[in-house]
Amino acid sequence: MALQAYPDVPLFRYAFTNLSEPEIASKLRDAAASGPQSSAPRDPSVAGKSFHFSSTSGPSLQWIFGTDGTLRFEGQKTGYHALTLDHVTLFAHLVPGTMQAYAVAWDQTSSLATVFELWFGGGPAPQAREVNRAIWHGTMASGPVPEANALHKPTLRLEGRALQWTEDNGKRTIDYYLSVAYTHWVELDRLKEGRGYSAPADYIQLTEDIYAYTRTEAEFSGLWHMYLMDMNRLEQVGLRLGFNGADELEFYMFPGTGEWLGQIARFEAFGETGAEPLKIKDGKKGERRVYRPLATMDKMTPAEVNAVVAKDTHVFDKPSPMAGFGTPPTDHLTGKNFSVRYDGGPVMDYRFTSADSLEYRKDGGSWITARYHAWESVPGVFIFGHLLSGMADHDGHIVVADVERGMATAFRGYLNTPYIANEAGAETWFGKLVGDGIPDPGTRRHERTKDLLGRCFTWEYSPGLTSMHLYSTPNTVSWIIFTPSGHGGTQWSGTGDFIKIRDQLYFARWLEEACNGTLGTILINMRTMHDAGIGYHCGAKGLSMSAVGAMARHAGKIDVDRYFPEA
Amino acid sequence: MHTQSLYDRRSFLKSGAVVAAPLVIIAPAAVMADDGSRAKLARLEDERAIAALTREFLRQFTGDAAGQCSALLADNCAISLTPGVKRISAITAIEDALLLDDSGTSASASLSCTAHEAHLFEGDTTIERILRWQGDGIHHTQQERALDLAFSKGRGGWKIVQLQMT
Repeated sequence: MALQAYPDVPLFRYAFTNLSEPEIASKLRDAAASGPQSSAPRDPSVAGKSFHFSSTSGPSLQWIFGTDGTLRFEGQKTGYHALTLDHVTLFAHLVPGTMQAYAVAWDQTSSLATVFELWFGGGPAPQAREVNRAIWHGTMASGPVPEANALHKPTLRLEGRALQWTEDNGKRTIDYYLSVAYTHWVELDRLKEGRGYSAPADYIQLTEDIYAYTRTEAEFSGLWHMYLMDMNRLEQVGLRLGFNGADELEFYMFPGTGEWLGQIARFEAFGETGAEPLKIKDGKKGERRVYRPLATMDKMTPAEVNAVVAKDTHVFDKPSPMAGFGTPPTDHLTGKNFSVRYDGGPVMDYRFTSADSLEYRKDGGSWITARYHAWESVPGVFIFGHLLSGMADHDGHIVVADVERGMATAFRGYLNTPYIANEAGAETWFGKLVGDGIPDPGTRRHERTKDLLGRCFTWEYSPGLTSMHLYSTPNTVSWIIFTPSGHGGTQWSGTGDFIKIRDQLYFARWLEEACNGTLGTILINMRTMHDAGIGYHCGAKGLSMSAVGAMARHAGKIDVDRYFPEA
Repeated sequence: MHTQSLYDRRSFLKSGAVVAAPLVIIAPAAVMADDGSRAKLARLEDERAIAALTREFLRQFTGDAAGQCSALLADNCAISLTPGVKRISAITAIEDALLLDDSGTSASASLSCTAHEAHLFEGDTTIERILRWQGDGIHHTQQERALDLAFSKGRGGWKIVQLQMT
């Protein structure tokens, strides 16, 4: 695959070059002298000044600024750039001859400062191209360093908010700040798919209205994107540092403007102000919890998949922790027969012989017995799932059948994707039901919907087992795992699809691509605030189809519809 | 099965005040005419022994009834506790719930209690994996539950023969 600065495949499918430290050092060499590029003029606030940064736990640093766009740092002369957001200046530079850089937020009014020490290579990031950062809060003023609570500090104040930012180069992103440790962002211009991704983040409060945000695009390019934002004026100044998909250095500063998209609920107890629930105690410099799901998931070959499926296949054969608060399966399909005629897909004939056993026939073939479970989320609307025997890709069908309106939609799960054999793939089939007493819908079908776009639901699967979904784009589901204190913690995301079954009743799926490999499907009933769903997963312990069921809370909706007019 | 007597020195000292009081009364009772006082006294002793036994069970129990509290349980004790329960605090006083049968050899009690439960996330679901990775592999809850106990008196004294939590 030719290198692409902004790949036209999902970032989790793109093979980012594992740049060596010498390669990175070489690419940084010329940039040090010039400093960050920018279309915006250098702010003169720091020119000719000298700053000494001190903090209680961090380094003592000094910058001596010239009037010619250069500064001296640790005895070396280097180029810098500076942009100011009202009274807070952000300046940045590389350290010549090293793979280090600094970005510094300096409050001209209070002299408080936050230093972002940045470096490539040497860890803790596993690849040299992934930017490491250590953050120090202190002061540029002489005298004793104020108490920690008087300094800039990590914050949960931004949690739940979302903004759309437009840099001065026209690049737009939607940034969802729904965790205190992670972020979810959507590149509206750099990437073509309109897909959202998740990354570790920092949220720092500088003043009541000015905050710093960083994200490290870990697991992808490793690039570091940060900005200061003024929440009242909806303005930003920021820095990008790192290597894009074409291994080109991006080292530039930008001003930008924002649009407020809303805020969803937060779930910490009232009065809770802690903002670092995932912090590693006594961690190494720059160390933090960075979710690297590809490294930990089972990765199997097609032969291994065939072997494990033959040996260990489990269909609704044990209680699922993902359905502790789920509704019980129904036996209302027992004795019923119908066919599902999928448009451009197979004809599936069904005879439901008991509450957990059915017979199916694909395209008029032989009848085959399979174990299934069904849930009746709304009277007359069933979700049921079963595996298909003898299929090369170990298909599972998860079907929503509306017997009162004669329509059905299926998520077909399958294995042996071109990427990782045990990772689930999925496709969506629309069709009609044919059977005694079932009305003919004609050409009507369930349809894809934007009704869920921007919405967030918490899902309580079992005691202590709660996540929140963010339906961030028409093709993305992001999931956020809470900490015991109710903070949004780890966040990740994958491909999603959203189907409207009836008003306030939606059939949704997500794929945990390059991340555990599960296909999750849920029928969301927004009237009962409960879902019923089915998980399809293959790993070293076998192929399974299991129940998903949780109580929901509607955490809110971020107003992003206008960014996805074609969906 | 452990055969330690409930009335060995160790448990005697633990239940000191409760058990001491009836012992003081025993001597005069022995010389009294049997006008029913003897039976009443025996019943009182049984109730206090069962109460002490129950409190000792609640004190010792930290998740493994059969293993940690074996000295308090009959060999064939039927145990059915809520999964994940690690500690039990009685809401109802055992003395207020105890039903001792006329034979003086069996008894039962239904207690309201607080079950302190720990749910371990040991599975392979994505959420459980992430929770473990975040350092949050256990979830603690407190649930009000019913604890039904049955007791039997044998040669070794009173033992618990049934523990059922719902």
